Amino acid sequence: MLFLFPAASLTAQTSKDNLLYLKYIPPLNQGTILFYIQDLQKQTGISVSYSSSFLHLNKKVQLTGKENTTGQVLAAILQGTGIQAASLNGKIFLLREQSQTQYYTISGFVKESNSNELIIGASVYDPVTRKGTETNAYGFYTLQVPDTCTGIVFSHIAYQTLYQHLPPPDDGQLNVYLAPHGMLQTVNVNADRGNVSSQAGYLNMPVGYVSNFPALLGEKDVLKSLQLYPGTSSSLESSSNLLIRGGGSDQNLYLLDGVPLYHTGHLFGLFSIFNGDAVKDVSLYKDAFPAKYGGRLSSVVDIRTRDGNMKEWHGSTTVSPVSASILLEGPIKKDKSSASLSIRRSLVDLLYGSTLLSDYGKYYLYDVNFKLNQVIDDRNRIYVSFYKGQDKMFVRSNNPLIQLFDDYNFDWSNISAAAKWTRVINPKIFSNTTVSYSRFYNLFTQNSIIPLSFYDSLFVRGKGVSRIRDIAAKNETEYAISNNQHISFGLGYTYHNFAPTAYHTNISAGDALQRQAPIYYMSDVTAYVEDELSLLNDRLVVRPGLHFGALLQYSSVYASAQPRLMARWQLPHSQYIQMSFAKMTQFLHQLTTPVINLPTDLWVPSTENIKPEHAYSYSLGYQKQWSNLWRFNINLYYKQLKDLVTTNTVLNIFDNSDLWEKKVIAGNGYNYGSELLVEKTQGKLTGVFSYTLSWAWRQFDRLNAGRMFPYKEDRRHNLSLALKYRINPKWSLAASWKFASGAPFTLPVQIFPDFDWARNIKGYLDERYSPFSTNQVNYLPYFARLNNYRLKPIHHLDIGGTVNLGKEKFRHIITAGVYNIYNRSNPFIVSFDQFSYFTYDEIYPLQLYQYSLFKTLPYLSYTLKF
Amino acid sequence: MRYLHIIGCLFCWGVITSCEQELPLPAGNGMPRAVVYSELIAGTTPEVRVGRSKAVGPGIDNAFVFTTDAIVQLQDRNGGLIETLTYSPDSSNVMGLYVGKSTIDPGKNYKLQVTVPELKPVNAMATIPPPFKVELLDSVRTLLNGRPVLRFHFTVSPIPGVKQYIVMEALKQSVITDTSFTYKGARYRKSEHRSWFDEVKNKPEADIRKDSIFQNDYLRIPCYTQDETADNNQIGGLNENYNSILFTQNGKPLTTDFYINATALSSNPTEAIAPIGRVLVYVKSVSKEYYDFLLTYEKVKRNPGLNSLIQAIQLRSNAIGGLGVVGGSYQKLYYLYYDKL
Repeated sequence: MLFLFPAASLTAQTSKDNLLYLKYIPPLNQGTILFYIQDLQKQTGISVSYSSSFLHLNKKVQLTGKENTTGQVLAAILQGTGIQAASLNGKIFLLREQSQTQYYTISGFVKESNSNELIIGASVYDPVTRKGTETNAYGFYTLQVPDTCTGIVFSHIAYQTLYQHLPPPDDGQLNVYLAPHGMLQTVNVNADRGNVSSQAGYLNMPVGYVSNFPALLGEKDVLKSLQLYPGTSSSLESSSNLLIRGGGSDQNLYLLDGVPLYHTGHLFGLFSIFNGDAVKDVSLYKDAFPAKYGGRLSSVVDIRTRDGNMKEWHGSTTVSPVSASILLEGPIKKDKSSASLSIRRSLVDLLYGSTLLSDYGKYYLYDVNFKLNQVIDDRNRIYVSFYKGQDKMFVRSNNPLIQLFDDYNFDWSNISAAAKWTRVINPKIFSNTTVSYSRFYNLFTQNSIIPLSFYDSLFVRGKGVSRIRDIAAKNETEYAISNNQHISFGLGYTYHNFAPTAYHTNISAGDALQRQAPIYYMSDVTAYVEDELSLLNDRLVVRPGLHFGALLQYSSVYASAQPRLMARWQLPHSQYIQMSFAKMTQFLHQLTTPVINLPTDLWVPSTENIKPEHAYSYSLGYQKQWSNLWRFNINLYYKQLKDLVTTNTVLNIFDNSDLWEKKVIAGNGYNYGSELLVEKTQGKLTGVFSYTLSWAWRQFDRLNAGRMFPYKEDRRHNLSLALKYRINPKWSLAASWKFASGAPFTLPVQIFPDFDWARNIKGYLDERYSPFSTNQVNYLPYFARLNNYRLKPIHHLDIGGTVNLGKEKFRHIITAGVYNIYNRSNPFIVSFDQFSYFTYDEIYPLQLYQYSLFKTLPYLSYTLKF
Repeated sequence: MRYLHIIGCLFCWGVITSCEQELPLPAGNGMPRAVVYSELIAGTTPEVRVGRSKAVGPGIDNAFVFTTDAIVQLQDRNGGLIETLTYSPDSSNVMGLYVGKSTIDPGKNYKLQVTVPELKPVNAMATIPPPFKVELLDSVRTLLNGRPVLRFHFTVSPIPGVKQYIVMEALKQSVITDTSFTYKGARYRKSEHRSWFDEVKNKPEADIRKDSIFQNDYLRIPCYTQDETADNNQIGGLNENYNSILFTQNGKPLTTDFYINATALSSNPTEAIAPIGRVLVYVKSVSKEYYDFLLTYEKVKRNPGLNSLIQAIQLRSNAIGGLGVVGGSYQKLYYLYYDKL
């Protein structure tokens, strides 16, 4: 029945004996095309020839009831298909019109076959024309294919590639189920996507990747995995504090299922709050920012959590000497709704709290991720997600190591909750609407005994809270006009409620002014539109966009139009060149002094005195792939930062006032550098080699005499090499080596007599400054230039191995390894002079003291999957 | 409540699991510089402290060389020599003290040129502020955030067209009480001639008197403000204590409460928290350069910036060619006596 003749090659008969004028009355007014053709053949005995490759047989059609000949019925059911009927040699042929190839749209969701988990970033393309697309963050795709197309390829790095024959089902929605590769097979970033989705400055990481390489204490960490790639680094050794292209950690927009998070570190940034068990997919944008993102200067880290298995209940549990986690997921109603719950908790306090650490205090953290996924129908789906992460720390004043004056409690927590509705409006239009709530708070209590006299003292219990609450709603819509043009647009509104500096004590204020803690109420409005165009036979992809953001509050209004442009020129042999420009604006600022990721770092808004920060980012990249096995990528970037906000003193964040504005100064920054990536993405041996050469400068009129100085996160060289060798399906070995140039540090070039000391003025009374102020040094430092000295470089080699045991039902994974195998002493803190008690009169040698955190550390963890 | 406390905790936690390594300082190529401290106070004679800095490098310690061979010249604004200050030996000093005889006039500019052998000469210019009016309306003992304090209610009048930089601070000056006696025309101190005192004390011609001798030794008394216009808010919070309270006055009357910690006002021999002495409360109008120095000095004292976690603070200085500061000041001084002298 497969005849493919152009209509022009036949001449339709027009005489009365034409087969198209035979009487035929269809039995029903509604049915599929196939039904009418078969019924016509059955009733009239006429053979109808057609090609199923261009005729959508299951398409439902409606007749008027007035059709009473074969020709009228065929004309009615073929209306709009570009196909016409012709009679020839005693047969009716259904022929495509001569004008041009006909296209139709298929769309649907790509899911994992075992669980119905939606797959993000799967490639969907016609293997003949190489036209394609990829699934969005909700596993949805839409693609226009020619009627000559006989099948579509669906592929994803973590799944077996599927060739799906066409035509699609009757309603045009083609949901596809991909089977995962073998257990824990090495997967890698952006491999196997051909020319469809690769972008310079963009990383997409399936969660399986996270556990590929050795990790500190065996803790899978999403953000640390990203640090293997060029342009990314951390401020300290093995910190999850992600720094992108010389930007600060506050310049990254972290989205957990689309909800912005303000604090992403546990244990002062040693581990990220993103539980590897709960995460499905991570995307990092370093440049070429899509217009839908805004609000931060340096990067976007978009993290999606697991939706939950729709087929059957599964789970896993992992135990290590420092933490335990459990994941449960399964259907509430099979193929209709599912739930996923993951919990992680540190065990340090439980295992060692009463012994090793009892004299120091107590610490624990936990995370809870929960997600509910309800399929309403083929086109509508609802998600409800919830996250809570908590750190609690108690530090004793009388610990055996350093005598503090006070007991301290730290308690910081993130909560985010979101309800999301995704809707396939039609095969070309996909929309998602999200309402969300996000809260971060840092609670800090301090119990002090302040001596008032020899016999008298004052007990002070101070409680400080810094809090952020956001309530947001947004809509994002994607419209695939054609394979060559995709438009996306959206609107968002966030209501911010910031209370950054609330403080209360038990003591009588006396003469002290009773201040109400300042609260900032703000409206954050966003809108965006973006058009992705494929031109010149797909050789050129251009994506212009515009993001608009505005921060409105009682005392000030700031608005920012942020143009975005990405252009990618496809070259032969899987090569391309990409350039991008983006303006980014940040209305919210994190005020911080130290370089570690403290929950006490203060988030404040732009006010009438503090302007928004801006970044103008330019990038140029080149990429080549070899048969999906190797990938080579080189990028150049330049970023200009304006109105950067920083503090020029040690912050006291808890004083119930908005006087923080007086401690803030604004300046500029310049980040530039180049990045190199070589990746082997398939085979028994896989790995990543990345190198970044970069500079990051800052310039503030009131610092360093107005001259530029290296930013505290400036690292000249960053290099990482990570390899994994899969011996067999059970055993694999991995190693990684990371190197980063030393951090800048301001070292005095001279010391000279202290001003008070020189005048015989002493001053130790009433805990004047800090616990360290008892170190009454008799000198002042003279700093000729800020950050004039470099700490020692940080590098460490880690090795690890994984063994997978067990059968289908229960699987056991044992991971073990050694961090910093050659016992390198990496600088954590370097101090000029000691953190010790001295008096004015004591003469002692001065030198540098380097404190290192991690020497050689073994790790071991066990995972049971069921 | 201080932010450094938090960092202290973090540091403590870090050190629990860390190890310490001593590293040599990198060899610096800097030469020592002359260090000059002087507050030229209107109506008084000039005093200049001179010392030497130490270039940071291997083998350095915190002992400073006592400088006695400097040439210190006080000049007028055009460089005309007013006088050369002379070295004043005093074993209680840690820097060489040079004193002059001429009186510093308010509203004038002075130059100070200091030459220390083998070092670059230091030049500094200081403007002595004009007289200003300050009124102490009252003082009262009270509590501030649970601490006993002494509150002063000051009003500083503006000088039309002149920006004033106001500094308030308090010190306690140590005193020792001694007995002096005059016998046959010669005067002796009991502490130095105890046996001679015992011998002559009952003789009618011995004239015995008790003296209070104020020492070259001071205790800085923490001070506080609740004034949101104080420039201390650029440094820390309103609940914190400071070396001095700093205001920039822009042609408007400044009425403010100045608090000093009351713990040290009187001395209790059993406690030894504060020495016996008198309390000096200063309200000063100072030169801009001196004010900038004091503002950054306040920051540095709270955060020396000597470790890699914290950004260093650079001191402002007007000592060209050297280090330190030469400031001009017009001051009002209040003496408070709480101890029995």
